[in-house]
Amino acid sequence: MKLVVRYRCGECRARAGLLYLGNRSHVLETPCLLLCTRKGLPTFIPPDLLPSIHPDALALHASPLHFFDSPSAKTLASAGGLHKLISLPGYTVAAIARDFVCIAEHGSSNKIGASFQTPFGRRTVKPVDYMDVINAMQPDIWASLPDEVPSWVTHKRNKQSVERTLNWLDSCISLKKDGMESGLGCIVGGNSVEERGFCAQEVAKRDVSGFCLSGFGLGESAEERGLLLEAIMKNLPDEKARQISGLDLPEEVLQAVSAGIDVFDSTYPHSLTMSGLAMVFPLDMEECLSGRTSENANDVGSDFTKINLRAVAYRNDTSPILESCRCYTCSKHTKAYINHLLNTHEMLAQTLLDIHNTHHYMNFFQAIRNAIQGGYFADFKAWFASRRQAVNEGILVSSAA
Amino acid sequence: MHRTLRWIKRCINAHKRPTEQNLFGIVQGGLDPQLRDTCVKGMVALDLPGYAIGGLAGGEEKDSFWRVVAQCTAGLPEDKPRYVMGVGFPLDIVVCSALGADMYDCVYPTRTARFGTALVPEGVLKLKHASMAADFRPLDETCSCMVCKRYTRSYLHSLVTKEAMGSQLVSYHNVAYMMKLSRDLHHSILEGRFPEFVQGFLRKQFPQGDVPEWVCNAMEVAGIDISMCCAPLK
Repeated sequence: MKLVVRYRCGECRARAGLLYLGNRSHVLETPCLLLCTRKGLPTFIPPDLLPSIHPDALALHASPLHFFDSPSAKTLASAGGLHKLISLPGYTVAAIARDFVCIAEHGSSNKIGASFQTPFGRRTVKPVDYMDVINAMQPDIWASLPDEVPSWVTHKRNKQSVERTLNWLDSCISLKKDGMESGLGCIVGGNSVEERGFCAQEVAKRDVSGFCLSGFGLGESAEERGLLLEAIMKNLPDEKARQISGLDLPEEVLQAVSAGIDVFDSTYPHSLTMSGLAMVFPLDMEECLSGRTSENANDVGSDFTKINLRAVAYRNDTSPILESCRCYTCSKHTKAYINHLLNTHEMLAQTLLDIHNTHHYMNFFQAIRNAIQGGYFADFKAWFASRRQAVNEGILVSSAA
Repeated sequence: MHRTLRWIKRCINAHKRPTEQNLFGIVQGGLDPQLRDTCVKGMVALDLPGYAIGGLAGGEEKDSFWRVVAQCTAGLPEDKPRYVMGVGFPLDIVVCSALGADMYDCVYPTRTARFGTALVPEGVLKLKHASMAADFRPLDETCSCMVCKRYTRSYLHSLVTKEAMGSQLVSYHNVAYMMKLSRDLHHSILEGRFPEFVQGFLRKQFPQGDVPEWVCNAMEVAGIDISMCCAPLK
């Protein structure tokens, strides 16, 4: 894996570049977004529809934790790896142990392994089992097994998690199959700036291809996160890739990009879909500031970030989710139809919403890359924050608020 | 049945777009031949663009079911579509087609997919079964749908009933299977080899020759010789 940084933001650590994987057969433009999956495939979007979502929709986040029951590591190995199992050979697969299906149970983890609550019961995952799955998956990118803890644990538990994560990183490195790329080293440390810095230094000493920033999105505030990211980043080599899990909101992504993160896996599009919400935040700073976009002030209960398609107000709304959006859902279907599908409990609602939300979020990442390349990322980030502020202060308010 | 005849007349009167939409009348009458006869005659007198055969697919005995279909197709006009509502299983579709029906609708392919059952020429594949976990063949070797081209029974076994994608992929295949069945029926009739198609179909589904009696009876009335598919009676 090789990261080539092409553009940098003058005012912060943000950078845009190209991530070369494997034998240079896969290239990802960074900062990039990995699509979340269940057992290898997206939740609602079948493989024949994936190419139409977005030209960048070629990188998947497949959590190794999904492969401890069925399909098992043995099935993966028989199939010849995850790419073959899911029949998506041209796609990039990143195996990272943080997802929305299997939840880490920091209270049950011990020095033998990390404990997770899964759909098939509670499992303690040891590094040797973990690497069985990683080796069987043959992913393009993989991260070691972390002992993730939320921000509110005791200082003692936090130190324990750093110690375990470093031990497990060393185990994972030694258990890696010959010929496979080295993985991302997980950096934990909870809410402690000291522990984060220490862990980052230690992981940087190991033979890793990049860094997986773990334990975020687990209760830390935005201010705390900023300090923790800075504590990590100043101890990491610039030329290796940095990946983060657990951040959802656009503002959180912007903060992390600002700190120098290159790869994101996010469940934000998916969690919006599951709640019947659709993303509508504008992406074009120029268009918006010049007043050329028409934000529909009739969007009921809208905070101009997302709309709730279950709302009765949309029952007869024959306009698409977003006029300017060119995704399949917005090209072919209306808010009224999706409202109807949600009321009749049809899976098509989730499929259509997932397509739109994924497309929109990928466009957001494209806008970020454009901003870094164009030298206006700091302005772009400030504009985004000011919109949120305006909503909170009631300046940008919908007529039905 | 009488109510249906009254209502179709009211529907015709209320129908504002008769030149753009086809209003089919549904023949009712339960399993009673006389009621069915009255209804068929009443519907035919109205000269509708097409006729549906309803009131079946409700779990009645197959032996009664095929006789009602046969009676209706015999009495309905030759040059108008006959739509058997709620049918159904591939075997039922083959039998009803032999008896002269043209159109069908059914939730079966997708509903059974959601419960982990795939439709194949041999019958059904219960993907939840433990034996599927290590079966690396596609659902159907002869099927060219997207799912059979890409995925194995083993992977689908791990998805069905647990993942939304499992429902989607097996539904996709099952619908493709039904579309292929329709195409095959259509072409075999056009090419004058319908009896051979039926024989092949039954051999695949009943390799031991245990074709159900109701199918044998129905095919006899339909004029299709399937004696070579049936094991000799004991």
